[in-house]
Amino acid sequence: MSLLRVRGLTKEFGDLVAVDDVDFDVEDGEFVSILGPSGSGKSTVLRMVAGFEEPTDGEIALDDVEVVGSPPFERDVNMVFQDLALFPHLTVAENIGYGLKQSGVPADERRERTERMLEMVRLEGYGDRSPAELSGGEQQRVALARALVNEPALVLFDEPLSSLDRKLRQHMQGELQRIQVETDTTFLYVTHDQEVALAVSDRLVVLDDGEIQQVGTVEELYETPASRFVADFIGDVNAVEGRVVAVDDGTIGLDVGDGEVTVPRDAAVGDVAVDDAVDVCVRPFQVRVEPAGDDRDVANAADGTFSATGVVRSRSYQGSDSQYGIETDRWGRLSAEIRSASFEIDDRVAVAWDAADVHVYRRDGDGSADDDGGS
Amino acid sequence: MTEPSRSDDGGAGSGGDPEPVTDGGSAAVDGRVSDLTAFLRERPRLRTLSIAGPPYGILVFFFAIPLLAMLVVSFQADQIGGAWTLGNYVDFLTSDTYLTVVWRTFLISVQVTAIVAAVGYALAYSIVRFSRRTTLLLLLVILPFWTSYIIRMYAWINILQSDGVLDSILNLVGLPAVGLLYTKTAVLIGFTYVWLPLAVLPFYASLTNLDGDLIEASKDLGAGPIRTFLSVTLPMTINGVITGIVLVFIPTFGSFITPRLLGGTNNVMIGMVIENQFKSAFNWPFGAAIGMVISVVVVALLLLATRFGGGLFGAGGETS
Amino acid sequence: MRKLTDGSTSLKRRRFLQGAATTGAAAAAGCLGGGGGGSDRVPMDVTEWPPEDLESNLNLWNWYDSWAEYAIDAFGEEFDVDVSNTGYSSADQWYSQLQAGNDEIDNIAATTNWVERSIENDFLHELPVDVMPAWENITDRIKEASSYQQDGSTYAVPESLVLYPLTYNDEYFDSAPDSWGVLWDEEHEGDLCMWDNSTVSCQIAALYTGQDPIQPDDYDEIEEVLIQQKPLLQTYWGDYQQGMSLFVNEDVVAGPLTMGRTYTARFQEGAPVHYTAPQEGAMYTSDLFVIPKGAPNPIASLQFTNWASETENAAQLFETMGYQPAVDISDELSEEDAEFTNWPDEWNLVFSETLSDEVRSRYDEIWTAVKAA
Repeated sequence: MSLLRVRGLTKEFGDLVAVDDVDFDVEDGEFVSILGPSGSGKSTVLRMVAGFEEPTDGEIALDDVEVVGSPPFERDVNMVFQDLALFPHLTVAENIGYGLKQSGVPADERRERTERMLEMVRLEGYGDRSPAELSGGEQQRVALARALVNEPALVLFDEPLSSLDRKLRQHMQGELQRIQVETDTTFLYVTHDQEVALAVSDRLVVLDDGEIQQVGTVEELYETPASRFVADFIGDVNAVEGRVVAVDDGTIGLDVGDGEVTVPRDAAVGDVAVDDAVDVCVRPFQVRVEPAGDDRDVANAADGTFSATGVVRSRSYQGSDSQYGIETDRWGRLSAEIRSASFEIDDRVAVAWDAADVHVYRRDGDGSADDDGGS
Repeated sequence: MTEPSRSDDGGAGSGGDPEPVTDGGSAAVDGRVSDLTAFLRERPRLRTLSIAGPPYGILVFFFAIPLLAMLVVSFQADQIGGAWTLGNYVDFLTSDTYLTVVWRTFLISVQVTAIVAAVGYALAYSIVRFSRRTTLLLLLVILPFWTSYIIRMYAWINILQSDGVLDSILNLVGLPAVGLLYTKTAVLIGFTYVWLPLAVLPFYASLTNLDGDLIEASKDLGAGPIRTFLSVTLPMTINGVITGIVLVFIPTFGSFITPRLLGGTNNVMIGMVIENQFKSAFNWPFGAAIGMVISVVVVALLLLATRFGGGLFGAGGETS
Repeated sequence: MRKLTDGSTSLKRRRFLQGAATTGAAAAAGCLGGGGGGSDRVPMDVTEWPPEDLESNLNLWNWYDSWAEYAIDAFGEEFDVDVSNTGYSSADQWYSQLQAGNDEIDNIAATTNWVERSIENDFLHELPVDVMPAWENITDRIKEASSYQQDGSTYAVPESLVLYPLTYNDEYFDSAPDSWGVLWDEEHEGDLCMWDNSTVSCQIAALYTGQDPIQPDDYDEIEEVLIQQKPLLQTYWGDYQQGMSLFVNEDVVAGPLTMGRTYTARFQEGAPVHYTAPQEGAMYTSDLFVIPKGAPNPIASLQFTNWASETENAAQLFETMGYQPAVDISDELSEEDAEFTNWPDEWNLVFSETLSDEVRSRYDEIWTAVKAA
């Protein structure tokens, strides 16, 4: 049985449908992120799970018990707020012990468990300080400790790391994972930052415009994004406009400008028909770059390769990889992520990728997008 | 003792109208402002004085000097300029009658303050949390200030008297008339009404500064509405609450108009006794002595309350 | 620079203290407001009537508001003087100005006891009443009763007679109650009121218990009967309007009120009320015109004092406000009004002499104790 089961969850604010018929599950011990751009409804979902908002429709079951209608203080769930919401009039220890006090834990035990939590988040000796005296990262830890000390079934996070600088954020991501494992608690984490989400989560729920786009592991989402939106949102993606010219049992023929390329049938997500306008998407790391030859700039249907020539316009080093921005003659600007090869700005290059690596999505605005987005 | 053509508003003591005194035109300075600022810039002490001076001047002129004068007078016998004496203080502090009145005044003031604080807090809270028309509601709260205190008290006489507005309404819905005028209840109602805005405004100000996430955090951590109120909302707004309490308690303690108009025969307050010394008993020194004692008592009470409040709810709390 | 007519240093110092004690603001107004306001002449310089060269302004402090409005127009027009009036509710308002050094007020309508204090402190100009034609209009009763003279000099001209009568509902009572005892009669429980004024209330109690209200000999008895009376009362009224409303709304049937308010209640509000002086006696006093030292327009003020005591103008005090002027005006009044203002000869009226400090403070203590009981 899932620890958290959400079914048909809908929230309307007047005419605005903030959350639209959302289903997902969180299993015991998982670290699940709800990922979406701002305004996607992800925080509203979280607030409904916490009990701060009443759903317009739908069910939320925690440990198989329906919780819709019960107030926040009766739910076995604790939240780490975006701005942390530490009580400024209480000390660090009093902040952490607040929940225990509310549930009537005796003072001795409260002190002991608070101490343990301070150790857990590596803030030994900070108990008597005021939250205002702590750094941003330390405050994060206090907020986390305050949520964890009650040993809730589920801890909710409302983008608490977004205010930290990158380095501290990465450090805190690691801490979150460590603490999650050590405390064996289930985390549901809301963020718009795909980097954080990819780094920490076991599974992701991608939300856009109140609707679920895809639910899956990080690998699933990255390798088989269910929609152009997901592909875009989870990591970078190159998109090439094309048109379907043939649909066979095993392959699809695509017109991508000057030439025609045949791709596997299962590269297309959902149904496609002849004459559909489509996006052909490929990840930058799957793009190959070579010095430009003389006459290799034609897409070749036969060998299932997309290729084009272009000029290097930008490059940036990212550790061992380099990211190149290449202005192609045929498809405009593409990005490629390659190791070791070194090209200079303005070098003329040839780019290519395998038809087996692409995903093909029907373009939005061209009739209905695929309805069965959830996998 | 003939005809009062107008009356003073509430609050202890009274006096002539402090007319603003202008000190002639200052047209000559016209083009010299920049010279003046340059002059001041080079003289930091003078600049500090010119900024800090006026407020201190006002404090000294309007508060320190009158208070000092009152102190001097309170040590004189029978009338201003009389021989030096401690008699006024002795008479006051050894009289059961006056001490009884002070005690009664204290009780009424505490009751009024408690009622106003409770009602005012509820009002401010609902304005902040549940209403979008905050400006309009606040305006309505302040609105009575545009009407003279005494006229508002007469309005209450009309409402509370037997067969008045309140009784008529009660009759209309089939309830028995109550005839509250000239009772202690009437005094409490009158005070609550006049002082409510004084409490609502600071309460409102502190509640708007309260981060709503803290309330949610408290509920999230298992505290119900009452626990949340007591352990988060109230302590976080305690400064505003104390301000409101001070603003209500002080004028209540010195009031004489409301108890006189609404209170009947059993609601004498010390402000009435003081007023009487000045207006009909012609014993200003005695009035001044009572005034001094009351001032000291009230200030002491408030210091105590503030400390107590601070100790009870922790370190006040920085906002933001 | 204001003129200090009296020059002793000790007095100046005292004045300063008093001024500061009163209000800082009043003192400031006194120091900064003027600038050569005072005239060189004083009222005693006038030896022939009418006085010549009136100043062109006149600043009154008169609490008979409606009458003052009449006077502003009528006197102003007749003598081409620009008149203004400051209404006030309590004598300490102007008295504090005199203490601080007057340079603004020309003419005050003051109660007897405050006139006495002002004379004692040398705050008032002496008045040449012998050359003032209207002086003769002042009735002998008030001339003899009021204390406005000292060492053969006269410092004030009576303006009005102020009676502290028993006001009663003349529909409820078949005839005027003949004793203050009506205010202790359990038959009227809940329908009585008293005035929240220590002197008035204690003097009523003194009269009721057969004592001298100016110099009583049994304070305990006064306190006792006042405490005894409490449960019978609806309230103590502290504000004239409130006192009148009690009678107009018929919340009470008997209690002390002023003659003016009784008049207003009867003739303007149509309430069934009248007033009487019970056989134990009723207190009365007078308000008087005075010209304070430092007055910027003393001669206009003197002319005004005379004008106000002319029968026609004095009658307006009654017409506008229902108070009894110090002048016999019976010829000017309607029959109904004449009847209302007539104080029968058999009334036992006791002039409310200024109380000694001791009596006054005892009365004050008693009254506080009664209210706190």
